Amino acid sequence: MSDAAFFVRAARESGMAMHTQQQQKQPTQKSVPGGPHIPDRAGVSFKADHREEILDTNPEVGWFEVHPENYMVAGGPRHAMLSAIRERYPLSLHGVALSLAGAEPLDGDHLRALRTLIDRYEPGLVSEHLAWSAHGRHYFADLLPVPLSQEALDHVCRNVDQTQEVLGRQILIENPSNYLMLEGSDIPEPEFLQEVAKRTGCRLLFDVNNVYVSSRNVGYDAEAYVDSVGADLIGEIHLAGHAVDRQGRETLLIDDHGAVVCDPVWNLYERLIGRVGPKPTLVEWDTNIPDWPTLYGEACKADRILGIPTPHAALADA
Amino acid sequence: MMDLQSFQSDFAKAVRADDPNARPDLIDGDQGWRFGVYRNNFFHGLIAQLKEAYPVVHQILGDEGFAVVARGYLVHHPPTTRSLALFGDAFPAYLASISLTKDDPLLSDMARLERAWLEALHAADARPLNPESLTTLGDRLAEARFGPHPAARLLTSQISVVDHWRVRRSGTIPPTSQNVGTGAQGALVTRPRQSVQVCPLSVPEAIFGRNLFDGAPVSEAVDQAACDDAFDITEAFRKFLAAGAFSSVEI
Ligand SMILES: [Fe+2]
Repeated sequence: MSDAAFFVRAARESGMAMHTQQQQKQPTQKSVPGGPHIPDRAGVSFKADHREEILDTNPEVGWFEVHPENYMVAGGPRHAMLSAIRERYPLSLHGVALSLAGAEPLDGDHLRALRTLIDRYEPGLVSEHLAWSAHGRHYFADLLPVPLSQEALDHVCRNVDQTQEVLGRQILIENPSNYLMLEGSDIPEPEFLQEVAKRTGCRLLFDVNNVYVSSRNVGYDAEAYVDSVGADLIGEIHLAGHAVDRQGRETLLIDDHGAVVCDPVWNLYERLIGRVGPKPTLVEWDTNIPDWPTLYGEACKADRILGIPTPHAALADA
Repeated sequence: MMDLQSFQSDFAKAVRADDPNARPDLIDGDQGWRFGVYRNNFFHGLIAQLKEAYPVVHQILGDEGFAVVARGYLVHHPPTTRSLALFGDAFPAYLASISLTKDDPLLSDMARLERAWLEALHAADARPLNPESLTTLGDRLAEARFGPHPAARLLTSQISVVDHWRVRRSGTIPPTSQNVGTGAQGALVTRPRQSVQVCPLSVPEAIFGRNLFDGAPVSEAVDQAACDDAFDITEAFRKFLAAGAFSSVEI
């Protein structure tokens, strides 16, 4: 058993108080409507490819996460599928299109569409990114980078405030994968994010793979980053795989969510859990979708680190 | 240092520029190749999205051909909504307008059919009109107006677009005179429950349906369609009702 898993299990067994969402006081937290609490255990991205296997076998998974943008349609099989999942599992909505770091005003139609989905599915968590994705009426379908300046900080805080106002609830903000060193970026990323959380009452979605990818691409100190974020501010953790892009002597890690989680990321995750205690942890997978047992095996690996007992068969696979 | 607005304008322009070497001013030469990640995400991600929305057009054009056309589409019609579920609405018209594809009506008409399919898939759910309700109308049928089901779509093509669509969707069977008609054809696309259905129509049947969808009473829709001797109102109603094309009827 790893140190982190041992710590977690020992803490549970001795009845030692662990951080849970209910125990924390958030400065401007609105009352969260409906949605069941997302447990401090592993969940996975919900993919249509796995639908039948999930609905037929009801696997032991803590929760599922989806991109709300894919469900912003009037009706049809996507809603039927998500409703069936939601009847059985807690759900998290992980947005990619709000453009919180965008210089332009938030898209009111999009915010209302998100509110409609929240009212319909009552998710336990709602999250977004420290990024921008739209400009001048155009949507880029990607998480674009922003220099972490004082101007950006004020801007992001305004947008998070407005979002929480319209949605009537707290959101989580995720640290991005970085590929560029941007001029004018003079606030360290963990400091920037924690400041947003303090000012707006949002919490953070800590993506361990993004920290690792950024450490390799732009020189972040991954361990220092993992050690620096306040435990109370972390509402969710992401784990994912990435691709390695070699161009001549240069290498860039691409956060494509298309592979198993790599060992250095598992190590950083254990380090983080050892310090902050168990947190809802999502294994993201968006491209090169694997068979269900592979994704489930990744969730079981995370559960073991969280001190959650996992089925024997899944352990053998993982 | 640039302000946020100028930085993002500059960055956005370079992401979606036609020139593959476009870079924002703020990104120095050493980092140019890293910026490629964002251009790549934009073009590859959205081309993949279009492929999913237009699988038969993709099959006809092949990977390379489709990528060239889709890239041009993205440069001229980048997404303007945050959900991509219905991205690509102008793609059929784009195919009908560019020199590479405009002379092949199969491409733009197939795209129109695939667009109708996608819209039907994501349209609002509603209970289709029960076919029995027709019998209760009796001789008041001529005055009746039918409300289209939210998922119902109609189109007409100078080619037998539904035949081509069926053959292509079935797998690798090549279109032959045995399985593909030669004349004009209409298509009725519906989703009475969770699966989309595509029903071939004669041209008069499509005209009849279009008039009903636009709110005309049955008598008027028949007049419009019946210029053609081949029009059979019973058969037309049978097709429309079986496909779940209507959600209401009123006198
Ligand atoms: Fe993530």
